[in-house]
Order: sequence, then structure tokens, then C-alpha cells
Amino acid sequence: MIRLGLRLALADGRRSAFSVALTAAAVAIGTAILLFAISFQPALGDRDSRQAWRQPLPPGDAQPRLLMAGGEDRFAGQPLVRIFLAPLTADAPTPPGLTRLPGPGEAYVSPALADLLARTPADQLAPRIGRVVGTIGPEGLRSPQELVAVIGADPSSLTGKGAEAVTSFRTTSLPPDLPPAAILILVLAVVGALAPVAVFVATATRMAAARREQRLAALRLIGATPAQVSRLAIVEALLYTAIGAPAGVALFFLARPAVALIPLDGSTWWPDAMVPPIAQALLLLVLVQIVGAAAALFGMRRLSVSPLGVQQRVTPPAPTAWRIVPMLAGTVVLLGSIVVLRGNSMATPEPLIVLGGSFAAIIGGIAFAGPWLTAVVGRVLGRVARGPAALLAARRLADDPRGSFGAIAGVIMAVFVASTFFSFAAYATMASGRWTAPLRPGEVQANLTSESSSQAVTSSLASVPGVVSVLPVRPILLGDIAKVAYLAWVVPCDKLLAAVDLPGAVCGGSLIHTSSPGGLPDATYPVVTFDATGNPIMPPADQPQTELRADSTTVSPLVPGSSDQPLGFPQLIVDPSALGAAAADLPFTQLYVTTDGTAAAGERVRAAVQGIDPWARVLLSNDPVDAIPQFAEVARIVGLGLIGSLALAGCSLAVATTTGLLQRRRQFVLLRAAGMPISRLRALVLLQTGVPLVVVSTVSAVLGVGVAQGVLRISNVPSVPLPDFSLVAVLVASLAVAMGVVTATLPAVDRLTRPQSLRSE
Amino acid sequence: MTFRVGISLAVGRPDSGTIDRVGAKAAPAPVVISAAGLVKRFGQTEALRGIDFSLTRGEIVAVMGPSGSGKSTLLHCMAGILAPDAGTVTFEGRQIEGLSEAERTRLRRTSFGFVFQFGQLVPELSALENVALPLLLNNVKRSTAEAEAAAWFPRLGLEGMERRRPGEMSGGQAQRVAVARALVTRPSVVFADEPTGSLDTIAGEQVMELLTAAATEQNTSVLLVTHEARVAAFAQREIVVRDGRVSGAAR
Repeated sequence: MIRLGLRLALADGRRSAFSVALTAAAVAIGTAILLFAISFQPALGDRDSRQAWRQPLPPGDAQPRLLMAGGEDRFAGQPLVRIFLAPLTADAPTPPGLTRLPGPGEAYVSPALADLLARTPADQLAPRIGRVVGTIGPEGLRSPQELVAVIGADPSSLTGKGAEAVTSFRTTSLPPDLPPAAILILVLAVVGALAPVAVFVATATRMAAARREQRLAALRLIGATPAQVSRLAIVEALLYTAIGAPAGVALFFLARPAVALIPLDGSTWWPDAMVPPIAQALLLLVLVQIVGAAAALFGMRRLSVSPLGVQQRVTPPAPTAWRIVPMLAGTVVLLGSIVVLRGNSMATPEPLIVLGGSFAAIIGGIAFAGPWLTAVVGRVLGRVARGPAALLAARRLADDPRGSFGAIAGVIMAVFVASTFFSFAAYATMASGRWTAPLRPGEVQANLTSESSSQAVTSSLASVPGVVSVLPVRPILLGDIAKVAYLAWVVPCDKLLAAVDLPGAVCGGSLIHTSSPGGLPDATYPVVTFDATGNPIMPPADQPQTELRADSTTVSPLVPGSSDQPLGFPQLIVDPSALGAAAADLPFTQLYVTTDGTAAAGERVRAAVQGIDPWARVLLSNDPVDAIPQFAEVARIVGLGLIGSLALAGCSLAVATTTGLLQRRRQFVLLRAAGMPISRLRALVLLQTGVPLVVVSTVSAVLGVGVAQGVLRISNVPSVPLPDFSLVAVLVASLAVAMGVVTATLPAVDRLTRPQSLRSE
Repeated sequence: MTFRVGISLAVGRPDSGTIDRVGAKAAPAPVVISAAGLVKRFGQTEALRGIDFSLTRGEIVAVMGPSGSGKSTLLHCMAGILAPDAGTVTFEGRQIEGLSEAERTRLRRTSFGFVFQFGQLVPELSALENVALPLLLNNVKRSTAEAEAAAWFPRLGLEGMERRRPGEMSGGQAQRVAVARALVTRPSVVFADEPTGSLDTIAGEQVMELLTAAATEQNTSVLLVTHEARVAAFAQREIVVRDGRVSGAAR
């Protein structure tokens, strides 16, 4: 039976070989994607483990052996990790990837940073690193492209710099501290990403099904039993999966170096860390075989009923409106379960299973309701159609809504997933407060770690090429009568206006607080706000927002070097004379520097400042600042998954279009022989795909946004934003890509339906 | 309106290697389409080896011959579906092998009609829409096209079956719809390739009676490829093709 099955599957010569190759290729792509999916978690874990040593392990009662300080910095917008190590004992531990601890002024750098140092002028980067004595091995680096410097220091120089005592280095990472909403989004992303994969594999196995059904129906006619026919179908399906699954493994290893270059959370990956857990991988390869065989058996149902099988052609029963019920039920269950589970911890798997399951039910519901919607679209189009292409497309949609929807199902599901996630992403972006440093081009802000370095830094900056002005300021928090604290700079007004362009601000006017003998005057002042690019937004003069009174106003200097030190411009400017003698006690811990606006000048300022005060934080305009990075990270994961889903959906569409064409080849050849222009046939193919694609996608997008809005509103999120223009852009782009894929099949339409091939039909 | 069924008495011009069915000579009708020295090869196989043949206005000619003799290839070359390797096909004074693919497609749509053995009806369209399809392809308004198509159904003997799908009709009924579809644009020539090949004797005769009667009424020429003498008997004259050549008269 196995030999007969194989012979039948390959009996048609080149056409069979092509069909087997295409289907096996589709199975291979699906398998490879699933392998990457199950490798993601281990790769993420490996990446975290390699950098685990940078999170200090609390020494407890043990004697500290090392001081460690440092953190994230940037060069030309890229994150640059600088870690300062000062040994306290002779047996101080060495971090992974280093052969020894660097001495004071020495540094070990990652290969990528060594490369960058070699390419960058010395005054822009080298002073921030020190003397390079070696490179860091892969075991100490998060990714091959990471910029890391491990810099040696004296223990005394790290005192008061937020340094932590270390006894030994951590070897395993802390579990990521993701907020529950982020976990929910990730679960939904995984469920959503699997749908297009399933559609793709199903589409691929259907590709060869039409010819197979004809062949096996012929066998039924000559007396083969349903069981024999089913066995033959399984043998044939296993032929595709038996070739496709190992090819998928090969594809996984071939594509791995390229996939490892896709950055996530600012880092690429170590290719050899992308390894699927062996048990899961084997299970996956077995499951692919089972799914292939099950799909083949499912396709045999019609043949089991009648030996005439697919050769019968009458009006099939139209899908009814009841098909929309599971989709609505899934929506109700999802929203209902959120009401029930509201306030529950997401730490246990049960709520996630319920939420993920109901989300999967909605996606399944779309797949179930899709044919009904497609049939409705077909009937409406049939009524209004004027030309033959529209009429043929309409009748085809109404006649075979399942097949027609099957072609676009992948894109439709990707659109639903996209709409849902972009809604969540809009919320995540809002919640994460991701912003860039509120500075204008050519403006640099340095937060120093001590007042002692400010003078040296100021004079050093005066000789740095590209620097236009340097203004030392005393940052304070000014509390008004309502005890609301405002960030304020204590700086002479004339010096400030000479250095900073503050449109609308005048010394002695209402915006700049000028001197008043005896301390702060009793008065009300407008609070200045700044937009994302650092431009001040001056409030109308008749809308005072804060009231300062001498007896109830507080002045607190900001702690130098603390991470709480606010970034960007202050809301109030206080002239030193307004504070009287108290002003002299406030430390200069911030520098406001203007440059010629070049990137090199910005990096030179950074190098000069950190050359003297290595722990100073220097911000250039457009340096990204994340308040809650997890949300941004999740949004990126979702974005990446979405691109994959859409790409896969595009592949499904191309395969389905070609399959549909092959199934109706004779009909098209005869129509063209009878004088149907190829342009009409192309229009038919485009209409048949495009019309349901646009209509059902719109329904899907509205449902996706609706579900996300519902989930967020029920979750008591204070305000729920609508997805921004990027959703529209992605939807339009995905539809354009889908139609582009269909258009790409048009040459095949032309070739496969040439009237000259009538002879072989 | 009813059709006169039976054998048309329209007379063709005697040709070399052909025999006039009734033997009565009449004033020669103008030649609509002709082939001269047609050669067509498929790889090593020479399907046509220099065929000369012509068809006059309103004439019904049967091309007979055993399987693989080249008769379908002749039909495909005459209809502009295949380009001959040598020789010419002239339709109403124009050589069609010099036309572009688009021009040949337009020619087939506007001047030719086709009846194939099976599978030519679009299964998703109703019988009425199938008949209206060539008119729609010629940019006729849908309501007009469907009205013109509907007028055929009483002639086809299929009144009341306009909304049926091809899958809901018998083979003979479907072929009669195909004949109406071939003739609805009032073409100059209908090419029929084994139009009764998948039908029983009675259904086949009904189809042939319809085809010949309607073609005669419209003064449409018919090139009929068949290997059945019973079917060929509906034609006014026959040629026999053997090994890619016209081998002589069948009758």
C-alpha cells in the first residue's frame, strides 16, 4: 500500500514533482518558523544568563570582594554599557569572558566596541573607556554586537557612586519582571502568531489535494474501500511531511545566522544560543506528521461518501449566518473572563490559559465566520457586477466561499492580530512614557556626580572643539504652597538667556523670577512646560499655575548622581538673588552645554565630561529614555511576530491563489481559447481575492480594535487610546503586500492558462 | 421561434479531396477562412504536414480521421489558438498568424465561436449567464446580454432552466447551452471539437441538429472535428485527415 501510494503521488512526472516540492517547501517553512518559535525562550534565557553577572548578587554576611558600579550610556544613539570594577581583596572574582580584572584606568572591551574605538576619533570615545587591555569573550556578552567596557577603578573612586559590593558574580539571570499586562500581550501574541502558521500549513497541504482527490475517487470507482483510499491519502500526505519536516530543520539551521541579526531590545543574538529544547523539537516534528495525515484524512471525507467524489458539481449549500456565533461567543467569553479575573495575579497559569484560549476562540471564530462573510460579499457583488470579471468573481465567491476565504484566511487573521496588538501597543506606549531627551539639536545636558568635578569639567569643555557655551546650573525642587514640587534651575537670568534660546522669556518679566530682597517674593508664576523636542511651551500670562510664598515655599537641592535627577529643562527659573544667602550653599551639579549641533561635538562633550567624572550622565538630543522598558520590549516582540505573521500570510495567499488556479485551469484555458482577454482573467483573479480581502479585513480590524478596547476598558485602565496612524499604515501595507503577492502570481495565471495548452487539457 | 432541424441544404464549394454531400453544384459562396500549406510540429512529431483547406460562408464541414491524425491541431491552427510552423491561415482576407496575441484573442471573441467536448461551461455561472458570457466579454450591458441569452432558451428546449448550474443539467443539455454560447455573438465561424464526444446517440443528435440549424440560420460556417460518421453526416462535406495530411474524400 505504501509503495502504491508513493507511485500514485509521483505518477504525474514533472507536475507531481513540482507539487510535492512546493508542498514540502511550505511544510518546511512552517516547521522552521515553529522551531524558531520554540527556540525563542531558550535564546532569551541564554542572552540574559550571559549578562547575569552584571546584576550584583547581594553579599549577605559574606565579606565583599569587589565593588561594581556603572550602567547604561550611549554612543551615537547606541547603548554603551560601562561597568567599573574595583577589587577589595586579592581573590576578587573575575567576570565571565575576562581573563583577569582590569587595573585602574585599564579596560576590557567587547569586540564590537573595540571595532568602534578603532573607527572613532580619539576625543569622542576613548576617554570614556580608558586603556584597552583585552576583549571580553562571548560568555560575558549579551549579543555579538553589544558595546561593553569593563573598566578598572580604585575602590575609593567608587565610593558614593552607587557602587555595590559583590562577593561572587551571578550566573543565572533574574526572572524578567514583566507587568501582568505585558504577559497578557505576550500570551495573545503567541496565540495570534500560531494562527497564520496553521493556515499556511493547511493551505500547503490543500495544494496537491485536488488532483489527489480525483485520483483517489477514480480508485474508489474501481472498488477500493474507503479505508484503502484513506491509507493511500495518508501515505501521500506523509510524503510531503516526511520531506518537509527534515527540510524545515535544515532551513532552521541555514536561516539561524540571519535571524540572529534581527535585533530585539537593542541586541542581536548569539546564533548558537538559538537551540530548540530537544524534547519539544522532536514532539514538533512528530506533530507535523500527525497534522499532515489528519489534514489528508479530513480531505478524504467527501470521497468516502461517494466514489464520484469531487467530480460531482452542483450548487453547494451556502454557509449560514450561524457561523458568526463562535466568533461572538469567543468575544463574550474573553471580555467576561477579564471581568471575572480582574485583579487576579497573572503569576498563575490558569487566568492566562483562559484568556489565551478565548482569544484563540475568537481567531478560530473568524476562520469559521469568514466563509459566510465571503458568501455575503459574493452575493452582493453578483447583484451589482457589470462586467464578466466581476460576475465570475462574484459567482465564484458565492459558490465556493470556503475555498475563497481559505486563500485569504492567513491575511485576515494577521489583520485581526495586528489590530488587537496595535491597540495594546498604543496603550503600552502611553503607559511606558517612552520619550526622547527633551533637548533640542545642539543642546547637551550633563548631570554630574559631584560638585567638585563641575569646575574641572567646565574649564575642560571650554577647549573642546564644537562647544559654543557652557552654563553650570544648580538644579532644585521648588515646592509651592500646595506642596507641589517643580523642577527649577537656580541660575542668573542674563547668563541663562545668553546661553539658552527660550522664546518669549524676558529677564524681569513674569516668566523669569528675578531678585527680590529678603527671599522669595509672594507671587504667582506660570509653570513652563517643554515639548518632546525641548521647545518651551509658554502658558498664557493670565493663567498662573503655581503660587510661591516666602513662608511656605521649600527649596531642595537634587541629589547629585542620583537616577531621580530629572532630565531636560526646568519648569521654573530662579535667580540666585531670589534665594539670598541660601543660594551659595546649593551645589552646581548640572551643566547645560550648547554645541555646533554636530554628532561629533556631542560625543566629544560626552567624552570630555566622563573623562573627568566617569559616572556623569550626559544626554544628547534624541537620546531615547524609557520609563518602563518592558512595555517597549513587548511592543517590539509583538511587532516582530506581526511582521512574521504577515509574511507567512502572504506566502499562504500566493500558494492558495496558485492552487485555485491549478484547480480551474481547464476552465480558464477554454475561456481564453474562446477569446477571453488575459486582462479580464487577471481582473478576475484580483477581484476574487481583493474584494473579500478588503471587506473581511475591515470587519476583522474593527473586531480586533474592539476586542482590545474592551479588554483594556474592563481591566480598569484609566484611559484607553485608539490605535494611532501606524495601525492604518500597517493594515494598508499588509493589504498592499497581499495584493502584491496576488499580482506576482499573474504571470503564472498567464502561463498556466495559455490557449495553446488546450491540446494537453 | 423554432428551428428547422435536420441536414442543411446549403451547398459548399467542392474542393480537391472533398465531396459535396448532395452533389448539386451551386453558385460559389465566398471563402471565409482558408489554410494553405499548414505545417505544425510538436517536438519530433509532425502533426500537420502541409494542409490546404477552405471554408465558405455558411458552410458546415466535418474533419474526420483517427485519433492522433491532426484534426484537432488543424482546428486549433485555423482558430488562431496555435501558430503554425509553416503555411498561412487567412480569415476574411487577413492572415491571422501575423496578428498579435491580443488581436487573435479579439478575433476569437468577436468572429469565432467554440464548442468543445466538455467542461467549457463555467460551473459557478447559471446556464443563462454562461450563454451571456461572450456578450459580456464584448462589453454588452449585462441586462441586454442576459435578455439576448434568454431568447435562446426556448430554441434550446431548455425553457425554465435558465438559472440551473451546469452541474444540475444533463450532458446533452449542457452541450446545447454551449452551442448557444458559441452562437450568441453571431460569429462568422464556429469551431466544434468533438461536440458530441461525451454524449449518447440521441443527445448527440439533438446537439448536432441545434448546431447546424442555428448556424445555417445565422449563415455561420462550422468546422466540425469528429471521428464519428453519424456526426459527420450533419455536415455538407467532409475531409479526412490522416497523418497530418488531407488524405482524400470521405464520401
